[in-house]
Order: sequence, then C-alpha cells, then structure tokens
Amino acid sequence: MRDTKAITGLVVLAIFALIALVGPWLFPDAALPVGRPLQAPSASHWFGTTGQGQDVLALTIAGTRATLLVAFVVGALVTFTGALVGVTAGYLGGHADRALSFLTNVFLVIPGLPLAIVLAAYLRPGAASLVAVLVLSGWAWHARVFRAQALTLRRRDYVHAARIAGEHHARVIVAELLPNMTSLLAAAFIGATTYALAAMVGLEFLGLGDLGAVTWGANLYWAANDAALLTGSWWVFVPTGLAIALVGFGLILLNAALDELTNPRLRRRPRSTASRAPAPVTSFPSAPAARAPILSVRDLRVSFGDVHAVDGVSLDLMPGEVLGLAGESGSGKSTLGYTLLRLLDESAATVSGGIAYAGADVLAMDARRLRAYRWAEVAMVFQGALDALNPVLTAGDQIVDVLRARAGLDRKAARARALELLGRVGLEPHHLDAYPHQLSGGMRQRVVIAIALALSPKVLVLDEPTTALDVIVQREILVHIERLRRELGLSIVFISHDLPLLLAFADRVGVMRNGRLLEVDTPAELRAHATQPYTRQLLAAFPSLTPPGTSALPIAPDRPTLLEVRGLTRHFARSPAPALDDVSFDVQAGEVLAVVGESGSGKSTLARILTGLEAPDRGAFTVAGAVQMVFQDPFASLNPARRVHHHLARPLVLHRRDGDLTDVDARVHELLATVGLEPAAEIARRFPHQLSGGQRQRVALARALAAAPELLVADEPTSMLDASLRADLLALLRRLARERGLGVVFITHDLPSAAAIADRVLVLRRGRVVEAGPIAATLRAPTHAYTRELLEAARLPGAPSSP
Amino acid sequence: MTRVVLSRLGFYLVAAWAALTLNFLVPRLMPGDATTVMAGRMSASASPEQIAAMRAAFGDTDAPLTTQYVTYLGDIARGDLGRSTSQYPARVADVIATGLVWTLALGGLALTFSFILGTALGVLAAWRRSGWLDALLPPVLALSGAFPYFWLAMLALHLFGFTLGWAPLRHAYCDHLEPAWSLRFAVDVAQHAALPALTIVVATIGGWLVSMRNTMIGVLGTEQITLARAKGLSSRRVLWAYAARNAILPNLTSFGMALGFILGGSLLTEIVFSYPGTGYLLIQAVRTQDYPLMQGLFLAITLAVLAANFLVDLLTLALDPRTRPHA
Repeated sequence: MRDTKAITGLVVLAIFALIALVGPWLFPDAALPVGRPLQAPSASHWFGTTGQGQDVLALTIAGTRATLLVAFVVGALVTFTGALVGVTAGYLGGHADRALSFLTNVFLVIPGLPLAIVLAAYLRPGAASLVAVLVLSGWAWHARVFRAQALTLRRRDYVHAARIAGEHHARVIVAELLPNMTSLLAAAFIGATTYALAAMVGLEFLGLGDLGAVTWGANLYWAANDAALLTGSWWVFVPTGLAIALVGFGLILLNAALDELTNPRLRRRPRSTASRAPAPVTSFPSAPAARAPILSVRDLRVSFGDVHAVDGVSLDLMPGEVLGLAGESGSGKSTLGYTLLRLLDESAATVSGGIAYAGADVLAMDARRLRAYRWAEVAMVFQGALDALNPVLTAGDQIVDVLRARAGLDRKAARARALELLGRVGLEPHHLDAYPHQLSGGMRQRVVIAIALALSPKVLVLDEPTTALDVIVQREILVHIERLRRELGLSIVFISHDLPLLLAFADRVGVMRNGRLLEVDTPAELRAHATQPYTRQLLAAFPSLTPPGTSALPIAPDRPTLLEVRGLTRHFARSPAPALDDVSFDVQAGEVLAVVGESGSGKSTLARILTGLEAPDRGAFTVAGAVQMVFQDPFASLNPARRVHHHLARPLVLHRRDGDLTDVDARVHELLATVGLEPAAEIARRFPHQLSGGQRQRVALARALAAAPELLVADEPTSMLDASLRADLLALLRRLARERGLGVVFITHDLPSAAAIADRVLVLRRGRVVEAGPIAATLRAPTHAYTRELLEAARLPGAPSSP
Repeated sequence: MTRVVLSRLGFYLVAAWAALTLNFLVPRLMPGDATTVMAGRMSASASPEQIAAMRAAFGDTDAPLTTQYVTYLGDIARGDLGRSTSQYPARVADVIATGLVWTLALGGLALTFSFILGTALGVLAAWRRSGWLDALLPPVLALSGAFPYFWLAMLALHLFGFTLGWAPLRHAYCDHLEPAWSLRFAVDVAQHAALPALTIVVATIGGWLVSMRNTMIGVLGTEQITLARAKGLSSRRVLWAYAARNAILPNLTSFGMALGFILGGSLLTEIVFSYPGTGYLLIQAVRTQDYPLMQGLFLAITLAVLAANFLVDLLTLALDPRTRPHA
C-alpha cells in the first residue's frame, strides 16, 4: 500500500519534471497573443485563449519550469536553513539554544503571508526577491521541528558514547545525528516544497511577483485581472489550478508514504482475514465443589499472524492462591494475562481454546457479559503505571469514574469509596486530587492497584507490578498486596520475569517459554525437583547473595591504583539536595568495584562525572588513563543508523597510537572475538536492529574496549537483559578485568549481581557513601542500617541464605 | 503558576516590541530618503497631502533616530497610526478597525467551525479505523487540499455565484444597504458571508481532520486506553475523556496559531470575494502604494497573532496539568 502511494507520487512528479524541462523549448513565445481573446477550448486552442488572446495550454506548459524551479529551490533552502538552525540549537543547548530559539520563535509568531506581502512590496519584483521572501517567511517552522528532534537524539546513549570516545561536536552531528534524521529531512523537504509552491502561487496571484514572467501564479493573476470569472471563462484558470493541484498531490502522496514508513500505526489495517476459530465445546473437568478452580484455562492459543504468542496453555487458578507465571521476554506470559480479560486487539489476534470463569467461557462472552465480567470479577494491574494512568485526570477521578460507570454510585459516594481504597493501598487522602505526574513511581503503582480493586474483584492479574520500582519500594508494595489478598480473599495471577520473587511470594509457580507452559509446581518442589532443563537453567541464572568465595581478588599492595576519587560533590540544578556529597574511593587494576544504590542515590551522576560528561562542583578524581562506559539500555546505546563496524572503528581510529599501523578491520574482528561474537566479519556488517539485546551489550562492551581504557564504568549493564543472559555478560566483564588489568566500576541496584562478580562494594544513599568494603565481609556483616535494609529487601523470604 | 504565565507574557511583549521595531526600521533602512523613494514609485505623482502623510509615517529625517523612535512608540500607544494616503484624510486606525470587524467575523467563525467539525470527524475516523470515514476522507481531502485555496474559491464563485446565481458575487453586504443593527441587514450579511465561509471551511477542514486522526491513533495505542477499556467504561467516555482529551492538546496549539493568522490568512478569501476585511485592505494598500496603511495593517496583524498565541498558551496551561508547576 505504501509503495503504491510512493510510486504514484513519483510518477506524477516525474511527468511534471519532464514538462518543466521541455516546456519553454516547446513554447518559447507563450506570452504572445495568438488568437481572439477569451475563446473557449477548440481544435486550434485546446485550452482556449486568455483575455489577451494568449494560448492557455502554451502558458501552462511553459510556466512549469519557472514555477517548479523556484518551488524546489525554496524548498531546499528552507530545509537547509531550518535544519542548520534547529539541529545546532537542539544539540548545543545552553546559551546558543536560547538565542537561536528566541530568533526562531519571533519569526514563527510573525504571520508569514503578511510578512511576505510587506517584504515583497519593498523589494524589486523578480525571482530572487521571491525566493528571499519565501525563505524568510518559511524557515522558522522547520527549525522548530529539527530542534525538537535534535533534543531527543542528543540524549541518546550512543551520542554520549561518541563524545566519551572523543569525537568533536561537528563530527557527532554529521556522523551520528544526521543519519538518524534522514526521514525527517526528506519529509521536511517535501513539506517545504509544498509550502513554497502554494505560497509562491499565492504571492504571484496577489500581483507581487514578476508579472511579466510566465509562471502559474502569474497566469492566475492575469486570469483574475482580465475578469475571467465574471465572463464565465473558466478555461483561463482551471488548467493552471489542476496543474498546481497535481504537483501538490504528488508531493502529498510522497509525504504520506514517508509518514507510514516511519509510523507503522498509520497504515490502513487490513481486516483480519484469519477466520476466528470457533470456540470448541470444551468440557471442563468437573472437580469436587470444594476445590473447584476459580479460573480455568484450557489449551489456549493466541497468534498474531505467524507468531504464536501463546501455544496451547492450560492451567487452573484455585481460589485464594497466588499463581506465579515466570518467563523471559517473548514467553507469552503478558499476552496470556491480557487474554484473561480479553484485552487483545481482536482484529489482529487469533484466539482459540477456552477460559472458564464461574462456569462461563470468557472467550465466548458477548459484549454485555464481557463488560460485567471485566473489572468486577477479574481485574488487572498493568506494568507501567505512568503509561497506564491518564495524565489529564487526577488519581481520584480515575477511581471515581469506574465507580460511577459500573457501580452506579453518585459523586459523593464514589469519592468516599475512592478515599477508602486509597487508604487500603497506603496512600493519604490528599493524593485523591493529585495528578499522576505529581506522584512518585511507587505511589502511582498503588493508585493503579486501587483502581483495580474498585469493584471488589475476585481475581487480580498482576503484570510485572513492581519491576520498574526500587527494591525497597518493591518490597513495600508486595507486603501490601499480600495483606490485601488476606483481607479481601483475592486469587492472584502474578506475572513476572523475576523467578526468585515468585518463588518467595507465590503458592505455585508456572514456568513459560515460547508460548508454552513447561511446568507448574510449588516453589519448594521446583527448587528441589524441577523436571524441565529450562527451569533449572532459569533457577541457576539468578545469582544468590552469597558471593563465590574463592575468586575474590586478594588486595595486593603492589597493584597500581587506577582511579582515585576525592570528595566529589555535585548539586542538582534546582534542588538544595546534593546529587553527590563528598564521595571518595579508589579502584585498583584488575578489580571490580560495585557501586550499589537505588534511584536518587547519585550513581548515575557518578558515572557521568567519571566519564567526563559532567563536571563536579567540588572535589576531584585522577585516573591513570582513559575511561570508557557501557550503558544500561542495549537498544539506545548503539546508533541504529550505523553498522557494528562503525561503532568499533571510530574509537580505534581516535585512540590509535602513533606508529601503530595495524589494520582497523583486523582490530575490529579481534575485538568482536574477545567479547564472544562470532563470526566476527559477518557481525561487523550488521546493523544494531539485527542483533539481540545480549549481542548489543557485547558490542557496547567491545566499543568501550576499543579505546583501550584503563577504567571501565558499567552502568547497570545487565538490568535490561533477560536473566539467562546476565550471568554470561557479567562473567565476561569480570574475566576482562582480570586478564587485562582493567579497573571496573560496576554500578547496579541489584545486590545479587554485585555479589556475583565484585571484589569490593560501595553503598550510596542520597549521594553519600554509607558503607564500603570487601564484598563478602560487607554482605555477611553490614554495619549501616541502610545496607541491612537493602539486604533484607533482596533476600526474599524463603530464599536460601546459604549455598 | 503566575510565574509561568508572566514569563509567557514577557516573551510575547518582547516579540511585540520586536515587531514594532521592525515596522519602524524597515522604511528607514532603505537607501535614500524613504518618502522620496516611495513617492517616486507611485504611479501617479503624489499630492502634497500624501507626501505629508508619508513623512509622518516614515518620520522627518532631520530628527535623530532615537527621537523618532520614541515619538513612534508614543503614537502607537495612543493608537495614532498616521493617515492613509489612498484614502486621505482617513486615519489608518479607523480604516483598520472597520476591516478588523469583517475579518474577525468571517474568518474567526469559519475557522472555529472548521476546527470543531474537523477535529470531531478526526476523532471518529481514528476510532473506526476500518470504517468508510477513515478509508474515504483522508485521500479525498488530500486531493482537495492540494488545490490552491484561492483557486477553489474562484471555482466556487464561478459555479455558485455566476452560473447558478445562488450567492452574491462580491462584498460583505449589498452596496445599496446602509450598515444598521436590523434583521434585514443581518440576513444580507449572512448571505454574503455564506460562500466565503464555506470555501474556508472546505479548504481547511482536511488539515484538522488528518492531524487529529493521526494524534488520536497514537493515543489509542497507549496503555491508558487499554486500562480505560478494561475498566469497562463506556466507549463514549474512553473516546472523549481519555483519548480525545489527550490527543487534542497539540492540535489546540495549531488552532491558536491559525486563529492568530486569521487576520492575514483570510487574505486570499477576501481578495476573491472582494470582502472588505484586513487582508483585502492590505492588498489594496500594496497596490496603491499606501505605505502608512500597509505598515499599520502589518502591525495590527502581528499583534493579533501574538495575542492569540498567548491565549492558546493559557488554554494549554488550563488543560494539561503537566505544564503547570508542581503543587
């Protein structure tokens, strides 16, 4: 569909380009009168004649070149100026941005057409003034668009990585930003040309262009001037209008095709041709009444086209139990959760099988019964509370509206009940009138839970309810949920990728992989006698808190100190609270120092200071060489528009020592082999989107090593990876530290990962170091209360405390 | 909150000052004596009164620039924009005032109606992706939007005015009528405004529809809509209070800007229909080289745009809690 649009647009424009090329050659004297004025179309004059006896067809064709030339030139100049000003302002920030933005806003606010008219009145008529006038009135809008895009892109980790590697600003803009802006540039050019065509024709129609020239706008001016309308001589102005419309239409088609390319949601969705499989008559096994499952799933299959998200899953939820569903990304657990409430887009998904609730088949329910079922019987707590809440309504409004719509309560009664619900989840009454953005992450999650409880459902489906939260807040929420379960007699389906959490919290846990349910059993049984190899693998992937005893690096006195940090202090921009407060520590060659803290502890600020992206307000640090960084988000840390080879080659070239003539390609392959990516030559040619999350993090690691640093800062390098991949990456990190004598600063909020690979640990809280020391000793006997709190939260009830 | 409002007001005051200063500087920056140059460009030789009016507008070149600037600002503050050369001795301010009334009435109402209808249709088109509304309207409107607006207006005038005789051919009211607060006059005005208003609506509705549709599609894909549906709220509430309310925010900004541009944007309509609004006055001023009037109009148009933008900023502050500073 998209291709039809693009091709049609291009064909139309190509035809006009051809006409523009040959037009003036075919009709060199189009402006000469050749017949009686205002003749209707006839054999001798296909489009008739104008009020001055000129041939309309000749005028239209001859006028194509001048019109299109000016339109495209203006389009190009407007795009160039807008991009130059916008990207510079967005990328540089600070004073440059303020000055350029002010200039842009002033031009934006001054109305274009009147400005163009006034300027044209003062300037001599002609093509040059027309171009000048149109560019001056049109550049500002594009500048704003480019600035917004540059602002977004400059925050991407791959831009930071380029700066850390030592690239200059200009090179970063050209080599890292612009390749990601190609669709924006193309769309801007098309849009600018469309504007230029319309504005130019408009100005000429008003008599402000060069009236002697043969252009479409001038043709229309003369048409109006010669009272073509009042004499009913429609042929004088219709052909030119059609020509303008066709070119405009071609440009719009191209733009629409481009839009759909960049935003797939805009494409017209074809009606789902997959026949909805009729719900088979499933006979649910009749269990003795006392222990009948409250929710029963039988052979559920959910597919999106060729992808089988859920592939034949059957399970039972018993009343009052917590059933955990564990799995990594792509396991189908979230899809299953959504299907329990039939929240999937039914035109895109093919669902078959049965879901029984109180004897009724959920998948066969009509709209009325489904509405009665949803929220009042089974409710859901979504994963990202900030995305799930409506930003323009208060927390209270969002609880009240479901009460008024479903429970028929009036405003006062609904508010009272909402207050009660907020109390149940541990929030204060004044939170009723707070907007979502005014609440912290933990508070928002509680609001979402309160909304879920509004109609007193019997079953609650929790989809990763605490994943985005700090470990201590997580624990609080879980305690609340447990209490609510007891008080309200809820049955819970708890979906999470965090297997240890489920083992500690749930009555039974099911393990899902690739849409299948591999096994379901009690936590004790799974830990002791898991039947599936994948389950055992998953269990092993989560490091326990006890660090491996033998591989801790002895602190030898002759190990060189690579990093010395003394008294680093940094304040937040608008807050009296310090981001970092008098932080001091050392890192020796070959050792891994874990910096542990929650959000707001200052660990990210520390990373930015050590890599030179920010400067401390007070204090200093010395490092015996280069510092490189591995970022948290594997999807954001590589430039999507550049191949793997580019990411590794640039730092190699920038940090090449004099006299080193080694082939860059060979070095790139060598690096890829070091981080375990084979075949190196093939991987080097790939783009980031052709790699998995784990592979991308290895490339990021290779990129950091390419600059031959002495110190590596790893900022939560595994927190966005699946559990089974984490162990490998962490082991790789540790091995590289030992083998190459690197110092590694491993920043994390996850104590077990720190325990797995670190030698020493530093605990940060609100910018201050509250505890520091060798990892084993610190975890066995923490001295600070906060460290004990973190350990408590991480060491979930039921987890083994000794190997 | 007041701080945010005041800082926005501050920006607009600075932009207004920039426009005023630009207005002051442009004729004075031209080489030679502006008045003589302008007088020389005029097709007929300028009468002494016209020269006087121009000198008043461009300033006596003997006085130092700063003094002229101060006088200029003082005049503006008093509403004295000089005298029109083409309609001498009418005051520019008076001429503009009459034009303003017609433009605001015609353009303002047509634009508002187009915005409301277009936005509502955009919401519905996004809600029913597989319906005829979404299939048919965007391409049809894309095609109709590709025609130059004034050309469509000319076609409409030719068809409905000339050929079918359903609408009057020009002006805001019949020439033989005197403006008065009477029903007869009101009906006459409405008849004359019908065709111009219709062409504005037809030409602009497509833009509002498509942009609202696109924003809505984005919002409808978010998790908050899934939650709203899961809660079992009525489709109407999900559509309007959850989806549309969030999707409309960027479009309101566009509407504000468009409203501000009405004084200049309705220009083409007024030319085609010879409707005596500010746009028509501006083009007449350019054609008769009435520089004082031209300057005065440009100023009025710019200030109106700034005012409209400021109002839209206030509206956004009211509608989007995230733009307000934290309680």
